[in-house]
Amino acid sequence: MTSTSSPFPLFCLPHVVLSEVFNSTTPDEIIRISLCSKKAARIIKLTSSKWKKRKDLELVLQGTQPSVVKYKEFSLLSVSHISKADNQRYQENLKIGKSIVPVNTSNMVTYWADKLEGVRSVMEYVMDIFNSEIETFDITENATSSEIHYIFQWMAKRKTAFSLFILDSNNVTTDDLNFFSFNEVVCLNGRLPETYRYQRNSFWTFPRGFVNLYAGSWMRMSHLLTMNCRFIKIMNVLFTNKEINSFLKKWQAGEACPLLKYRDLGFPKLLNLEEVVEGLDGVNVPDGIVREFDIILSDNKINFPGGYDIKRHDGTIVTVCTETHPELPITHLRIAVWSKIRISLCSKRAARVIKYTPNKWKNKNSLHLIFYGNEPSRIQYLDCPLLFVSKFSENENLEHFENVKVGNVIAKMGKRNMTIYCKNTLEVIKRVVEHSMECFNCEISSFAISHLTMSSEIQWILQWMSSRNTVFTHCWLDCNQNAIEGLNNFKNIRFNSTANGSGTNNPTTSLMAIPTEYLSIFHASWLKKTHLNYMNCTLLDLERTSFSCGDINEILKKWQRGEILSHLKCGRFGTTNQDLDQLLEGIMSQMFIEKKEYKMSESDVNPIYGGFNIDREDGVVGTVTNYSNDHNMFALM
Amino acid sequence: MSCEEPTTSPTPENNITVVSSDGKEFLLDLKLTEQSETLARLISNFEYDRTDVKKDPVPLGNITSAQMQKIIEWLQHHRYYPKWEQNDIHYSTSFTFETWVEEYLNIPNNEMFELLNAANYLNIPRLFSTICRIMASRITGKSAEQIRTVLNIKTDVKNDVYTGIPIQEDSSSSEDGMSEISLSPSPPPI
Repeated sequence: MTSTSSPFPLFCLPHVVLSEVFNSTTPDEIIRISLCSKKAARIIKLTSSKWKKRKDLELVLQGTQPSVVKYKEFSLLSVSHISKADNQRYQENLKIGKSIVPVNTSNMVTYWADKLEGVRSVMEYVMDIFNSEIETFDITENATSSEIHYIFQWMAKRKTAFSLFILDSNNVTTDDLNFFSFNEVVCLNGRLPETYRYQRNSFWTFPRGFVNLYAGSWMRMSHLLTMNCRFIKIMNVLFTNKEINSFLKKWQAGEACPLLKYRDLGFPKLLNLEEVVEGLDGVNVPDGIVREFDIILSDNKINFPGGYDIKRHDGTIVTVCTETHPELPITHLRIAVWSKIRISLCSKRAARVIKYTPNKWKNKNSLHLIFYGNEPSRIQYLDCPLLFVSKFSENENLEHFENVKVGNVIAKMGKRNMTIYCKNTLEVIKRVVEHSMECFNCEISSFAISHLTMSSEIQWILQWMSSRNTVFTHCWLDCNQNAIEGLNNFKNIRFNSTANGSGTNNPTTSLMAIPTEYLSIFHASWLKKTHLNYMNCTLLDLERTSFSCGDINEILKKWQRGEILSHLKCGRFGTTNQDLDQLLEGIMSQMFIEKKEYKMSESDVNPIYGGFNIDREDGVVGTVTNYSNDHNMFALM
Repeated sequence: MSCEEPTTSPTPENNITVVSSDGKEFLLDLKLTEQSETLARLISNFEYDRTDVKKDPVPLGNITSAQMQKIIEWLQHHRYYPKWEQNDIHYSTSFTFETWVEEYLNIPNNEMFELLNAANYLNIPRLFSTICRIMASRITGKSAEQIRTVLNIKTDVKNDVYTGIPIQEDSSSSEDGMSEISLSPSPPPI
């Protein structure tokens, strides 16, 4: 590729083309281009959409070395004192924020008379270009007290939720530590000040993700009980066996750290595990059995040799074990809260044990399959995602995967995200679904299929559903109605059709006839009056129909004669106009203006503010009311 | 009608005629037009794939005959390639291109610019992405000064002074003449 004789007028390209070029670069190149001129920076800000709002910016604050602002693994700009600028060969004066400073273009180190001012300017410049906050801070050990104080002050001014804070320095002051809260992860590797004063809302009480304290000799049990995050690692703690025992009892009763997934406490002494678990009704696991716990914060799994399994009142199981390193000397007390689906993937035996151990999660019909098309499809238990299935890309780093057995195939699963990657996603989704159903001993009862799902995928899933001899409770289809041929055996259907008037689609009448309880169509402009002949549910919601009030009038007359919607309790019909005279033309009705309440069930009571009572031939009285003030919507109740 | 015949003996049933901005007509095999989403949609809308429909020449006012010739060369080469799928290209500018593509795109930057705009206009994803990636890889690893040269960017900062002397902003090239991002692919003066 040699054609660089003439310049390429990049900024003359249309927006969409320019955006594609920027998206093909890397974040550090984005910064390099942005520094070329004001115009370049402005265009970059407007076009490089891919890199924006990604929460991937990080500050590494270093005292002696240049501090660095990074985007994931890419170093964007470094900040050093101007006295360190020695290699003028690569230096160029560039504008960062309001200052024009020398920059070594070979390594993108910027040189400032006031380094802290430089750190602030560079952070704000990078945040401006990428339109996202720096949420990760890594304060290294040689950062000075004044530098830490400056950064803390700056952070406090930003109204943002910081996701990761690593403090590796001994130079932090009590005031700074108690200054503000961190949200997700705090790693304090340095010592706390000798005079550290504990406050009620101290920095360790806020994070919900991970607290990692290197020197925890100052910690008391009261501090431990105020934490509520998923991962806790504290070294050099001085708790007694009885204190740990009391903590576990509180956890067992649901009174301490309900979010806990993993805790590692390092003791500078030996522990008596029997005393730690005394009175907890734990099951002793033989030392020969080593289980692996996958902690998402680490690439390596944590070994759990033997220990005790303790059950919480809600059925959640925690394992407590110790690991001693006499040569250090240090004893680790490890506590892991197991996730059921994760356990079931550990081994065949684990899956079998899970399957045959009765517990509260089984037979509940709470499994949902959510089909996104181009996003990972997922299976979840109520609101809790269990497993994801995604297309395997050649660009994936194989180190981040582990092999798990799902059904009778071995698949690659992301260590951190419970996502199974595969080439044939449909086949694996089937196995994942069957594995989850077996694990929880219940059928998938609910489906959500987004409009991004391809019609072949919808066909596949509908075929699979029809092969299950079961009654599904809920199906949410956000797709064109021509993709739903063969939909059978549904009790309730929630159907969101975005069909347009192409005229080639032939809506399946069987779909409308199947639900006996609830049928909802959000975009029902394609619906014909004849389709109502097939519907026979108790709740009907038709939005954005092409029906006029005259059409609804015909429908009401048919309902009066008992020809359609005989089981209807409540029907809502969107109309193209709002003409009461047309709506009730030729229908004997009795107007009322007082407020009434229509009881769908004990918990679902709908107020009616006036309307018209109409009689069916068999004596059933229906109420027609204007359902919404904002839309043309009438209800028949 | 002076027609170019780039495809393998196209017959009136399986081709359409496109007219470039300078009035030159090109006979295009329908199979080739599948690579261009713009043309494919047009053919579908006007039902030009049917033999009983009269096919009027399609004017391509934004594309010159030279660009069209170049594009047809691309379409011919990729005639039997599978449909282009955009791979996620997070964090990579180390793209590799086949030799034919390297030779095909070994053209002056102004031609590359026009070709990129034409690929965007005709919506030929494989060509569009390839040129974008080539442009991205040409920026990679360059200093601000080199990027300015490659992309024809004027600096805001005078570079001839350093340390101790206040650095002036070059007002002549800062906001003056700074237009918003171009939304129309008008070829720039090179």
